[in-house]
Amino acid sequence: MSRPAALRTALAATLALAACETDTPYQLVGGPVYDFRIVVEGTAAGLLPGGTVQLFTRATTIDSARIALRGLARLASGGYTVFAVDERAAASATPALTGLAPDSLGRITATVPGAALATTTTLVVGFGAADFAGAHKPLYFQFRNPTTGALVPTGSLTLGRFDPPASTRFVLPPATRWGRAGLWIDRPARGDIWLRGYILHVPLAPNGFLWHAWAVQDSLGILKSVAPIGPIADSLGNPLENHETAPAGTDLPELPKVFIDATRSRLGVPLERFTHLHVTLQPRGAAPGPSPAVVYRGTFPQQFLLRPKP
Amino acid sequence: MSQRTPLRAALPTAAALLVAHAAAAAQVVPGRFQVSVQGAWQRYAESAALDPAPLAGLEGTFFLNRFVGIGAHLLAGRPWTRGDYFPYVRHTALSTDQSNDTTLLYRVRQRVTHLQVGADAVLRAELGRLAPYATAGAGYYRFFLDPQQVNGLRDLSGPAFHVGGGLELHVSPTAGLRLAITDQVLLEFDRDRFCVNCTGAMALLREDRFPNPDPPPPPKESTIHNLRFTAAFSFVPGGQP
Repeated sequence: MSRPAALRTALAATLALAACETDTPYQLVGGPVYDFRIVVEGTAAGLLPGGTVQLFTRATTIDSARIALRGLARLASGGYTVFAVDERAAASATPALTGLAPDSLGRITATVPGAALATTTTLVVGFGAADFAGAHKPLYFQFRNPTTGALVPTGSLTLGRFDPPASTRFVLPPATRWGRAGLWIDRPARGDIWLRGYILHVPLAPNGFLWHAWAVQDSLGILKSVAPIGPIADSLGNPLENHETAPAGTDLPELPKVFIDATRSRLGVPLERFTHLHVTLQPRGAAPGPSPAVVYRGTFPQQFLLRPKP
Repeated sequence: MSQRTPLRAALPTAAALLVAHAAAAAQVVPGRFQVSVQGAWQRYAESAALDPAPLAGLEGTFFLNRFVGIGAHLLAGRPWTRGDYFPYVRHTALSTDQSNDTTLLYRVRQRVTHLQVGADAVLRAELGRLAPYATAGAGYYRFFLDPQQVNGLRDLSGPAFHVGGGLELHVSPTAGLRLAITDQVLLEFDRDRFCVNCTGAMALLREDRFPNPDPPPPPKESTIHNLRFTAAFSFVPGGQP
């Protein structure tokens, strides 16, 4: 064989070997992921903690005030407190009503006697401690103008952080704020199911509240069973706490991206049984169970729901 | 009937070569070049995000005398990057109503081309037919990324140096077999350049919900130490003067 022919043969053999590449750059990890979107619950505005105040007055004298609260979870211990606060005097607050417990739909209706409101400007609903300084103060309504003394006979309680003179409102995220989640089969370990997702632009929770995720079995609007997934967390898995330390401003700031994370093995219940993901505004120290304040909802996809149940 | 493996078939030939040249002299010739055809197995640093891989190349050494030489080398290899060091890539199947419902996640790696050139200094001794030697040198490395994977021509390069030693067995007055171990040090190394889905259009396919559940990779290092095991056949072109 001539030298050029031998060189050509060697080159062809080398190229043939190179073409026999059997490894692939893509390696499938685990089983399929069943995707679903997390959207703002359509009726969330009516489910948030809140309420109305109506004053019953004669001229400039307040006889009483009727408070109708909604969206409140039952607390594990103690109840909600209504404080009468004078914003014109520092640390001037007295508990007008104590030990208020919501009904099964998260509602409280109560009447504040007029005597408690005679020299005050604002009604504040709090919980977590008997004293005003130690209590969470997520709901407030200023019924008297601190400067002019004019009364506002009716109005809605604002949800946020009561911290005069720079109280901060919670603003329900618009429907364009959404998230993505997935149920990953056979991960993080074989035989397990990993539920994980994120939500973008989540406003900080109001004072005393936190965002909490739940796996829910929802049948025609009735919760048949729930499993707590836990507080939503940052990308490193750290729960988002101390929202009360957020900087003062008109509205509570947003968290750019928060995560929901659970596995079937960690939940200890068959994840296939559930149908939805709920994210609620949960008062700290609430009794175990989802708050009525469902703000985000995700629906597990059909491909997942049609899997054989354990 | 027993089947003879290629290795078993080669052993008698190698033994005959050794016996035939039992009295051979040193295979370096002062004032002449010695050329080595090298095959190597490189174990990259754990932090490098590269699987171990074979390399092949050539080395030419000009011997000033029988004990000191200077030269140059060129080696090339095709290592795979490690996909478990980087985020996953997702492939989403769209359902009929266009709401994505099923996704498959992939660990993605790429095959890169590793080229290394440099200058060496060799200090050797002679113990009969064996010649232990030490080597040190400096040069330049370059990893060419897979253009199909990264959608373009991209590379990672930087200075390199090495230290090591080995043993040379003379099989004739002008030829020998060589085994060596060297520490190949690569500077200005950035393993993130191997990430297929960290930049560009592929970043859109990076999985953003599920973190890689594999054990976390070792921290990044800008200077990596790689162990290279080399076997070489060396000879003096043209034979003895």
